[in-house]
Amino acid sequence: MAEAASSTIEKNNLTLKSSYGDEFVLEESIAIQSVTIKNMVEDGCSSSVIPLSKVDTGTLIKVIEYMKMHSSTSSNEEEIQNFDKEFVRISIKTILNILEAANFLDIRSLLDLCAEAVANRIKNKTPEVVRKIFNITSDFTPEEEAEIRNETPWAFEGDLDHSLD
Amino acid sequence: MSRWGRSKEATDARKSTIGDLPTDIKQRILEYMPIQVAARTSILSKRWPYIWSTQPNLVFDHHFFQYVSNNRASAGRIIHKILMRHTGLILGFQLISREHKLAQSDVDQCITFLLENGVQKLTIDMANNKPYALPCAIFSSSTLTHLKLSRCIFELPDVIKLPNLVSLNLELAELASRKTVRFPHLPMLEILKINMSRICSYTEIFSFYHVAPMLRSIKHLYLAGSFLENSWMVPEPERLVQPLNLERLILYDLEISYKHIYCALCFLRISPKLYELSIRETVRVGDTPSNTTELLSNYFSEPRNLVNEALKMIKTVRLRKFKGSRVEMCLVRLLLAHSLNLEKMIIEQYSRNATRCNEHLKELVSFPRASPKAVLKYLESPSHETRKRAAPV
Repeated sequence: MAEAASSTIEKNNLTLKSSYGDEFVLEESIAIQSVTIKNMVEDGCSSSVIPLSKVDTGTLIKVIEYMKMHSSTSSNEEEIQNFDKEFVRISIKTILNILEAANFLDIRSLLDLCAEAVANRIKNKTPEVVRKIFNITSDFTPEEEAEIRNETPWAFEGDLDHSLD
Repeated sequence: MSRWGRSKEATDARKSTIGDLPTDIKQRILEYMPIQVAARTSILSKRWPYIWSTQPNLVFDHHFFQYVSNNRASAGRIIHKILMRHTGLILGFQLISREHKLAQSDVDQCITFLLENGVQKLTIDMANNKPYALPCAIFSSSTLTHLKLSRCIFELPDVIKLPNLVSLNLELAELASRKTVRFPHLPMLEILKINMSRICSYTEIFSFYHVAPMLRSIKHLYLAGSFLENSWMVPEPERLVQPLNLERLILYDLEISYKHIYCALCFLRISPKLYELSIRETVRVGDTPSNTTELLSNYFSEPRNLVNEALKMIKTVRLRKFKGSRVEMCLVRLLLAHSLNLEKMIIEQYSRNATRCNEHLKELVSFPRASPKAVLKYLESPSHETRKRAAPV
């Protein structure tokens, strides 16, 4: 009896390992929201630990939190919506990390949630501020930049926000 | 490549840049922005104009038109310029504004360009004084998968070929003239939405007759009450007799009238795969409440087996804008009493008055349920905040 029970548990659990080497045990039914993990399970790689070399511990904790909420059968649509709203109330850098992880793990809904959050955060910012947020260095000469502004003048009308948050 | 052993700080520093994200993810971020903001990203660095000019989904919504009109620019010219500079595939294109107008010539230009370039998802949903006349070419596109036409007027060509269309959404659409041509069976079509307002005159012209051949493959059918009603008027051989593949039936408005109930039950009876029935709003016409409740009770009680048969498959019933009227209560009571396999009855209240809602709930839970599994969910009226971005049709 006891043996049977423990083997069922083992069968249904997966161990995910972050890039820092931290291990997290998660039910398979929850983890397979990630298409990447699902494919690994189907290919028979689930018996051992699944290394996620592109996902750091902090990000993995957030991703697991998201997957747990979204696989829960007890929560209704409204609860999930509220959870999502709270979930992205974090720094934009953390959102970008989760976005990258969601892309690697192939979790469509999380990818959309983060993409929308990033879009909302930067939509009213000046290009200078957006560059800072994303660590982008402009490789345009001032003349080239002026040319782009001239080509699409309508895109640069209106007041923009200069703050970094 | 393993990154283990690197310090946490180093990893964080490496990651906090959007430059590492693949192009399609950056495009997805741009997709969630108003289009003028997405266009602004061209200036970030030399890599970004490429990302913007290959953006596969372009959405010109209310915010865009508002922004353009605030800046006294011409929306038509800007859209034209964007299309001319676009270098990749445009898979999705949406024009959506209930407050702004766009000249017929601008819309024509867009549609022609998009059809030539293999657009897959197209939405035309603009405010206008008279309906847009659409080019016939739209009905022979081999690339379109999703098509939403709102307030459009069109002539159905003799040959309609939309081999890949999965979803067709017609709202207040009008047919130009020839009444005998109609939509043929479209092999891939799964979602059909037809919403005509009761007051618009077009319903006389564009009717159930024009869409009947498409019903065979439909899985999700969204229907206005007036359309439901004229399913009754089609000639005998066209009546609903063959089994449909319908899985979900969504009625925008259900009148508690003999015709509507009869037609709705017809649909249910010939749809052995149907598992969800959703009614956005229950409306009552003409009759006094006592008459209507009587009508409902009579209709449901007489051909009892037929009603049970029609409701047998349903697992979920959803009623929106529930006001707690006698007629609605009667409808819920009858649905609960006849749906043998019901799992969920979801009712969204219309009123925000807590006392009244409590009274409604008390009454609702007292109704006997034919299905032992049936759960009743009584939800608050949804807030406007929950409305998300415009879905791609």
